[in-house]
Amino acid sequence: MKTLKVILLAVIVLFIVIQFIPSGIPENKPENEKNISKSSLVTGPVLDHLRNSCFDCHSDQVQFPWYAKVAPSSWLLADHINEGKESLNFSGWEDYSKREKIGFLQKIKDEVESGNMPLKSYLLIHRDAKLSSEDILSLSKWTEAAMAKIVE
Amino acid sequence: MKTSFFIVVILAIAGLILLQGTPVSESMQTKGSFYPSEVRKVIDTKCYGCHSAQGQSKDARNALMWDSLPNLNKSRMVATLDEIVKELRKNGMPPAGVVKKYPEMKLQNAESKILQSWAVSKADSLLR
Repeated sequence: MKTLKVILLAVIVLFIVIQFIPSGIPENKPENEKNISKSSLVTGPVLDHLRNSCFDCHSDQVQFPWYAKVAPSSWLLADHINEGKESLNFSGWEDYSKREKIGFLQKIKDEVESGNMPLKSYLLIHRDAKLSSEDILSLSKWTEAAMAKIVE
Repeated sequence: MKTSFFIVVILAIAGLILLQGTPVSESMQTKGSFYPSEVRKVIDTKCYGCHSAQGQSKDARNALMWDSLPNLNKSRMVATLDEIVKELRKNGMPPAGVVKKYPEMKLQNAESKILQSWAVSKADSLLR
């Protein structure tokens, strides 16, 4: 009985201590003119899909859940978001060259069509981020149109 | 009479040789203008084994075929060139497993640079 108490106390202390380790979660920034939302490429419901299904890992406008403030789940989140933003950040869309934009649009199309994105682990918790087959079709058509526009 | 017969035979043979030669030399020419020789050299020695019809891996063939790259539409071509640049920047190709098994397949820095600057300028020229 006593050992159980000691273990429990140790777990609680450990839990409190790890709260002081910086999680590495990036800070949100206000949207500026470089955001894809300001781009003439984006039309119709596409922006809603991007915000709803992509922005939580691929932008500086993340909607943080409560467990983003609590270790150790905050560490996992930090990893995902930093990795996501490193490969593509919709908040800095205008910093990309035309070549990179086309590369990303093609990648978005491939990833969304194949169901790789949004990540399964993310959808498990964020059910409303799931893209319906119509959403996927509309995103895919949008990428085609946007690429054609850039290539013009 | 005999001479003219010989001329006809020689012309026929020459014609046959030329006909056979035409498609090959034509495709070489298109490739030559799309891929400068120093780029072609790197591709042939380090990339072509997997990224061509003879490649064993389906993933590699789906991702990139050097022979069909020149025939892609503009945006697909640019997207593929961008993917090439990204992959090379993170030293992703040839895959670590391949390099471990065949150390001579490792892409040297200079070779990677040749491919990268070619891919960037090719994409830029398409977007001008």
